[in-house]
Amino acid sequence: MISLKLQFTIILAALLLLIIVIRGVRSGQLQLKHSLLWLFLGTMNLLFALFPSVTLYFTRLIGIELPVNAIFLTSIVVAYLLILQLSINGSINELKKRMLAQKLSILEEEVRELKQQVEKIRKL
Amino acid sequence: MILRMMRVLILIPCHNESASIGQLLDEIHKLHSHLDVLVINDGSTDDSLEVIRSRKHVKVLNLPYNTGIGATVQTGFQWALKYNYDAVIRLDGDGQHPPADIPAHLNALREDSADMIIGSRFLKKHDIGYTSTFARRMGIYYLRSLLKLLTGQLIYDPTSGFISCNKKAIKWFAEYYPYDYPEPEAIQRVKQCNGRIIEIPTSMRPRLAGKSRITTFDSLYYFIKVSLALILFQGRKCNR
Repeated sequence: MISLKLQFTIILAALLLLIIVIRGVRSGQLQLKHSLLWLFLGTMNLLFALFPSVTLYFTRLIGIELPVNAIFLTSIVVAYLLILQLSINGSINELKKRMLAQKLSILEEEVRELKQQVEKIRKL
Repeated sequence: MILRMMRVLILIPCHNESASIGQLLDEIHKLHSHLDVLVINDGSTDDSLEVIRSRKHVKVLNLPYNTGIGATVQTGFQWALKYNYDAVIRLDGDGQHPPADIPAHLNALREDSADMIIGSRFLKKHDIGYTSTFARRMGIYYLRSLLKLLTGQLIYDPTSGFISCNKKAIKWFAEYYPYDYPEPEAIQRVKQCNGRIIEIPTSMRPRLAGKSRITTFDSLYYFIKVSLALILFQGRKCNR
């Protein structure tokens, strides 16, 4: 079983996480679609700590000896998913940034040429 | 009475709608040639852009990559704000929203009936064009109830993309417009800005061409994302 102290600590930590994430979303600093995994992580840990009997049931189901390990396992799996999500986002952002730079350089040259032509017409 | 021409912009987001967008633009031009039309091409990978550019009366903003419906529509509102339009009417690029219903929006805007006017599928008794599945009807009933609870106003068609906005709402949406399935959150935003919303009946036609992109996974994401967003953004201020 989970000790009462650990149960209390996990509940506090999960609540803190949820508060930080929800505040981030409300203030617009964190996009909702990127908060979903964090919210899932916080909620799972909260539920595990609040209802140790449920945790015990699941740990037996998948063959984990110590219930608290189920909490760690979930956290690690979600953390990996979060890192993967970040890597994917980073790659997508890089592609988009490159595309913007290319478009911008083309536009810049086109605007410069247009300006020169306007200048020439004005001088005529 | 002071007669002043209301400057109205028809705003059409377009992502891979080459099969329907041309026909829609011709139809709008035939019925309402006096209105300005702005299409925002959201990184289409088909030849939507060529089709749009072949219609000389239409202005096009070509987004360099797919930004999603929210950012696309917001770009249109930013354009409308910059060029000082009095009103915006938004239609989908797939042709589901009949251009014949535009005058009803124009009338409501002229009478200053509301800041945002929603073309609603569910105010009409004899709805022939629009058929809906059970799951979709349940979803709409759920959204209707959630929005009623959070904003206090009953909106019969909270997912309608056929909306029009006056100058005030243009400014609100240019500043912030939700992303990914933005319609219910846009309603919430107008209410947070103390805006007035009314619905007017509209019919929806089957898509002119192409297929809806919404899958079962999308529906699940829609449900979670929109519910969470509406609840988390409850009580947010207009000025963000």
